[in-house]
Amino acid sequence: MTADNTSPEDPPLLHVDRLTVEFPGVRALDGVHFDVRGGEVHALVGENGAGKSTLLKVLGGLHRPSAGEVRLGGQPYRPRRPADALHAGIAVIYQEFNLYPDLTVAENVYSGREPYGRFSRGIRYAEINRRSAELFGILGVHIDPAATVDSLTVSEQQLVEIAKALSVDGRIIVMDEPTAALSADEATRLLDVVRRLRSEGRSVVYVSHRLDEVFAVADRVTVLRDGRHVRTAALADTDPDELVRLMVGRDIAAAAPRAGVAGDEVVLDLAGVSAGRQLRDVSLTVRAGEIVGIGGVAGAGQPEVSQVIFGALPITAGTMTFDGAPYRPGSPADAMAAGIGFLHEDRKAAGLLPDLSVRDNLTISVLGRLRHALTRLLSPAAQAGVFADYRNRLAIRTTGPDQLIGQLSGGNQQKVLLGRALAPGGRLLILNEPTRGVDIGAKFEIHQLINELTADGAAVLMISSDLPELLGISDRVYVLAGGQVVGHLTGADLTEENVIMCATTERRIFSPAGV
Amino acid sequence: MSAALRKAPLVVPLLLVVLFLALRTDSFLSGGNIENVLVNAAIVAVPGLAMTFCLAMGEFDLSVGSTVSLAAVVCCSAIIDGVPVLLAMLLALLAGALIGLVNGMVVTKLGVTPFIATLATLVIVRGLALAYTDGHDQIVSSPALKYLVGGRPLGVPMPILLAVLATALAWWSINRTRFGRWVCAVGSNREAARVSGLPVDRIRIAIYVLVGTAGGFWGLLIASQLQKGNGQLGLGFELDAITVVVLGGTALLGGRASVLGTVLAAVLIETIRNGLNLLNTPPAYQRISVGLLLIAALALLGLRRRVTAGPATVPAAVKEAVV
Repeated sequence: MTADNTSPEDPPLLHVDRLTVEFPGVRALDGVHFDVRGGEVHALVGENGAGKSTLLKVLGGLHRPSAGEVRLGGQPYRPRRPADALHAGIAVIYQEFNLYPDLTVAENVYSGREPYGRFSRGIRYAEINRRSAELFGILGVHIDPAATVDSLTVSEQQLVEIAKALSVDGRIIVMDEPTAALSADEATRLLDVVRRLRSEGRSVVYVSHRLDEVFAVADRVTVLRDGRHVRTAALADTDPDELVRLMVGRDIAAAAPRAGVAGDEVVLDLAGVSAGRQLRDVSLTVRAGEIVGIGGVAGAGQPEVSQVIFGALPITAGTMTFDGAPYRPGSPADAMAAGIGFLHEDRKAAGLLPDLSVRDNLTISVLGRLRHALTRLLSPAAQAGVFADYRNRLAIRTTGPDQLIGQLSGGNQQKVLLGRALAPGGRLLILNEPTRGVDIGAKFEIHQLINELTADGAAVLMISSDLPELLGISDRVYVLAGGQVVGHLTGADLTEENVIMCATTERRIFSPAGV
Repeated sequence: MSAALRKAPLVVPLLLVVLFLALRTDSFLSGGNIENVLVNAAIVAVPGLAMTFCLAMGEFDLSVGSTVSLAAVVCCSAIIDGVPVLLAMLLALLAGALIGLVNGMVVTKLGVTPFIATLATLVIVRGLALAYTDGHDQIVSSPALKYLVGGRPLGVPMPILLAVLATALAWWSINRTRFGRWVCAVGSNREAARVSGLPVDRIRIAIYVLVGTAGGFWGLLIASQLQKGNGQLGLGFELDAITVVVLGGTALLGGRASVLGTVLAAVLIETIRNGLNLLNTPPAYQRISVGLLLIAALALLGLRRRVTAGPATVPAAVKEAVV
């Protein structure tokens, strides 16, 4: 609707017709239709397991369809390997970045297509550095082409992936959840980049859970559910409520209602806590029955706050009090023993034990407790009991305790990890990005769960880069910037504008105490 | 100065060891002894350089020690059978390359992990060398073969000359050529390499062939030194090659290579061995020393990384506790 060059009469650039992809025992895609016009941003939405990733992998040459056809510019398109997709001008940016952390930015951008000297065989570094810089110029960003990728922020790495897509002159650039790991500010800039790509005449397939982004940037949207095509529509002809309904197949409330009642008892108190240069003079409290949120742009010190409380980052000044007693954990084990549960922000890197069963994944933090009193051997019955308990409470959808956790959807994996954090029975739960990468239905369930926990008297400290989530379920929110607390919002002050204001400008907002 | 030191931290212990030996022994600094140390270092450095590529790719090859034996056997037997020496040497290199090719195919096409695959070829190739010789020495007397270790073109011992050339070539290749960067790319993130369309299998096979060929070359050097080949040669050599690479600072999990580190580590280890000889230390203690050195060096490296890296990324402690 925004671009004039996407008239419905144009034959589509990419046309996916009755595409079916089968894996042993699963039909991941079932007769799906999908098309992309030249110079449009086409959003692809659906819950986890709806088949979006499978479709992307077919386009990227990683999966082969069992039936159906893909046509690119009128010609059959059957990539047999990733390189074929690149040659055809289709660049897929997967959610797990495909970058080499040890290599430089330019080496990553031109990986596989490095120009080199005929006799010396040496890569022409001056050339790839210059050309990379030009690509970043097109994207409107500054990234040093000679820096190694592991020195970049996540959003910069995302831009390296996009530069890579531009370097193959991608006509269709496919982005899978490009803002999942970005702060609100970085996400806004990424959307600008997407618009720039469109104005260059390129097409973008934009996969996202975040409907606000879809409405901000896309021309059309296609909804998938359970491997089937549900609807394709111009954004002007639909609204977020309809999309959510189509994605989940039922009506759900936008946010779970708050059930917990904040008590007066202070469970955790930080007074003037500093940690090197990462945190400076942080003071905050969490009371029993309360959900306290921490917000801010990425890199403002949010994970570090959770790390000092969890004993993973030593404090250099200040004091902490937990359950009324001085608290200074020397390690995460100390923190767990004291009664603190911890959910890491990176499910894949620091959470899942992918080759173990859901039962083992859930009970791994309490195995010591599940041993027989005499033999000291692990008691399968006790383990099964704990698992059954959390399976019911958290509504974990699994075929059974022996299923490998890698086979669950993102939302159910997250519930298992939530169970792991809860199982030791602590009074304080630290949740880092509790719903990152989970679908809308599971997100709602997880929010409900957090609510129920606080109703039982637990204290929750939640770090979230998802503003609607942060504002929707927190009782109070601390905003961080540069490792300092720059805002404390309660009641009517809890608005997106206030959080962004505190996080990105000099303004400080502290709601009156005692709310 | 400090930047150079950070790139080649082994210079410091090397200088300390040299200083110590210069003060404590009469013969260490004699020209003949220094040359002896450098020749021995060169002999292990050349296969070490090939192994550097392998580790930079995130894999390693255990079969090298047996390849040394088989290559020496092939070369010496061929010479005994009247094959021209140059052709015999070429056959030995081919045997090494073939073992590498087998390793590469087993690892890529059959999907066997490198540890298991090369452990198996380690045993098989040793068996082949023993079977071929029926357990006997293949003794030769070939000045042409001797030249490989004993020759002095331009007055420089042949192994040192070869090692210098190999070092320059390896450095250029790994840091400046497309192939070298591909190797590091595969070591840095193999899945990414696959998805970016790199010919990952071909790269891996090429590296195994390279290491196998280097193992064959090592066998030639040993045959040249001893003027014989048998099924007992090269026992444990694979660990020597991996030791110099790791001690030199190449990342065990791949992604980064230190060519100069490998060479320095070879010199350091040979200097220590030589020094312990001069101090009349029994061989058993030499082994213990090298092992302790390896632990000390890697522990220091790990400490330094922990200090400089800081908790900017996910602290390992969090991962351990949460998992």
